[in-house]
Amino acid sequence: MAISSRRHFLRLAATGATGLALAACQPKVVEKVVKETVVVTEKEVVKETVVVKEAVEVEKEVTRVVEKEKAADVIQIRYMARIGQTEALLYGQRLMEFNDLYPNVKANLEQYPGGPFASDYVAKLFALQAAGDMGDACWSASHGAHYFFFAERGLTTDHAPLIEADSFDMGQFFQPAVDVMGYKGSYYGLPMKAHISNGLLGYNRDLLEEKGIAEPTGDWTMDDWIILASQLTEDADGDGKTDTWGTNVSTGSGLMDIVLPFGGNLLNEEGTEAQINSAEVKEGLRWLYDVYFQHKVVPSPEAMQGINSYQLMASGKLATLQTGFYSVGNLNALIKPEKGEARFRYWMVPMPYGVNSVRPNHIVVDCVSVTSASEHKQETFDLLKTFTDKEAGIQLAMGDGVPGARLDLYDDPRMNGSHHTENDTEMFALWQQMLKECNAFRYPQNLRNIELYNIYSQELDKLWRGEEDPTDAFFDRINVLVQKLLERPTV
Amino acid sequence: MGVDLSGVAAVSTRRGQSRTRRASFKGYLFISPWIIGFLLFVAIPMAVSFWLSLSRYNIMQPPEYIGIENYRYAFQDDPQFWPSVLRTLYFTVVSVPLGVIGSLLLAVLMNRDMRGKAAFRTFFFLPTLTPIIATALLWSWLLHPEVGLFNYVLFRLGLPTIGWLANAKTSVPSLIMISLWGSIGGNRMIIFLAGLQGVPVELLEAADLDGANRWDKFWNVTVPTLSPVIFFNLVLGFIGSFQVFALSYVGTDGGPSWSTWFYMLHVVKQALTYFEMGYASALAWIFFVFILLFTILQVRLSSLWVFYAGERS
Repeated sequence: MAISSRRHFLRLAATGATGLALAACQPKVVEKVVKETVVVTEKEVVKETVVVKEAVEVEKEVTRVVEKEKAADVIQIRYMARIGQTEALLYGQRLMEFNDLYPNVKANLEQYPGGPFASDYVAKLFALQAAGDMGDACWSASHGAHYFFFAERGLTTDHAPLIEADSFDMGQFFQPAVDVMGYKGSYYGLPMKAHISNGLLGYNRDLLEEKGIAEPTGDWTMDDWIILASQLTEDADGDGKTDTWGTNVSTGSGLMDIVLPFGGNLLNEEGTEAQINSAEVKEGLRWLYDVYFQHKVVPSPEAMQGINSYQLMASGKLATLQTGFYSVGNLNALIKPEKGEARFRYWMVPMPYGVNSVRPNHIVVDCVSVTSASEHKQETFDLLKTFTDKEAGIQLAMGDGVPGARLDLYDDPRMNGSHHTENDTEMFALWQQMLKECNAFRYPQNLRNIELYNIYSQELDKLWRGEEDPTDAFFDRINVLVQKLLERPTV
Repeated sequence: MGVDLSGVAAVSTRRGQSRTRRASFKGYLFISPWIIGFLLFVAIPMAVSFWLSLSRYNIMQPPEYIGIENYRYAFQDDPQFWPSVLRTLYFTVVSVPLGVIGSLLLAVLMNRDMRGKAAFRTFFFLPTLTPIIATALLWSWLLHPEVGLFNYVLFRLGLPTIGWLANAKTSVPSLIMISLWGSIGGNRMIIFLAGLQGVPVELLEAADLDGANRWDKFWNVTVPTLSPVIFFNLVLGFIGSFQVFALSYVGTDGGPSWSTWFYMLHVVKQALTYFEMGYASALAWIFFVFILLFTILQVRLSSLWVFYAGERS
């Protein structure tokens, strides 16, 4: 043990005493708060410390953190949607309004990648459900059959009790939209948006005017369509390659629409039987085959590789295209600069009708639903009402042009000042009419919709590529494939 | 009077066994991280996957045991099972030999003394560094039937244009071409280059003295010496090629007309698009067994043509 000498000890003591003396002689500082910044946070603890000393005044800025006292029972609800979809604009606005309206509820938006037929989004929701981390509400659609899939698998809850408890009037929506959402005798969501798939023909108005061709009206037939397309198809420089195609046809998921004017449907009403080899469907598909190889007015699948019809039309290589309400936003994004005039004027008319005055279209509904996992179903249902009310429907129309699935939007002056087209009043009136008259949507009873579309796409593609002829044997083979798929267990 | 050493021997044996056990324990302790990782991330998931392959499972509900129904459906009823197997075989049987031969010839070229050798090696290796998604997108545009560079050149030369990825007959050859672009100058070439450094110079000199020409030396000296390396590249090439997925998923989505719907794409679609997890697990197990048997066959056949220096004949 080191022994300190007396000299060392005295040295230490003197040093310590000097330090103490100096400290005692320092002037005291008074902190006077001259600027106070209050930061309010969400945390629970509230602490505030103010130090006051005497004598010298020193001006000092302090930040006083006052953590907001959490309101009792603030409910957090999670709404899950796809990234990048046009309704994202709606969500941002309506969520803020909902949170203001219901201070004891805080709704949060979670967005996930969509992918083709929203398959990535569906996979994400399934993973969340399997992990026990499901949110309170989700988006879905009738088109990819997710809406029915979620209902079948118990991801979304039966909304009938919620509708009844709220005395919610489903009659405020378009009846075809409400009808398509009926599943096993109940509803599993509310309709947010509705449109008529590819039930419109969009056309380049300037091009028709330039060529002196009369614009189509809604009163026309499938043959009139081909005549118009033939007039517009052109090889401008005579090099043997078509420079402008007359029209384009949806041969993917919209294929079911093309056969409707011929009195056919790819599936029976129950979704249990394939009808590809019915006389009516064969007639429709052979008509489409002739469009490719006899009339030669549509671009080949090779020409469309990696390109969509809007890009082709925007570049002047396509004069008309089979499209829907949603195309307004797509087309405007391509042909309308932020300032200045659009590259060309366009307009839309209903697709031509066939036998029995049936036009090629079917109802497509985007839905919002309360999940079965939600512990706050009533509050979540209130959120869904915010996404499906009149204000939301108008905001949707002002956004990308697809209005809400409601009847009471169209007289609002804001609808007609959206500047999507040359005459929004007339356009929305047309859409309103078409929504009332559109065809029902048929899907496989075993909900294997995406597999079914893949079969249509891959197999019938052989026709449009000229690899196969539309013989009875060909259609019989496809029918067998589809029927086998329909007989598989519900996914 | 003799000394009884039996007790000493017994004690010695017990001490030896104890030392061995301690040494073994320490060894296992050191490799335990790998063992734990193997169990957690390989063995247990494989066992679970096997169980799922005997079930119907869509994530949302618990797996429902259905026996070998998934396997039966694959072999008997799935309209895309056998076609996807054949397409994958077609892709593999063409792309792997071409790739190995191409990489070998390129390595022989890069092994020569010439100016700019390092730069050439770098340029040939660069495609390997391109991410597969970027490769698929890039080539989709280069091979576009209407606006692609390749067809533009053909058109300018007055030759008929080709459908490339947009035609069912040319889609797989196009994917093979893209695959070779990305792999010929890659790791395979590097491995061959390394192997070429091991070719005995004295054998080549002896061949020279015997009047062998370049081809004779290459075929009778270089190739046999490189046979273990060729075998290695073939085995890895086949295993990798059978798993072709990204090119068709990004470039063609299995089309046109199913022509690029390869086996692994079929598995992924079943699992992640159609949510048939049980069936996808069965497909994965079938694939695993097939790869295992194929690799065993390759190893067995290697004794006929692979020469290891120093091995007794």
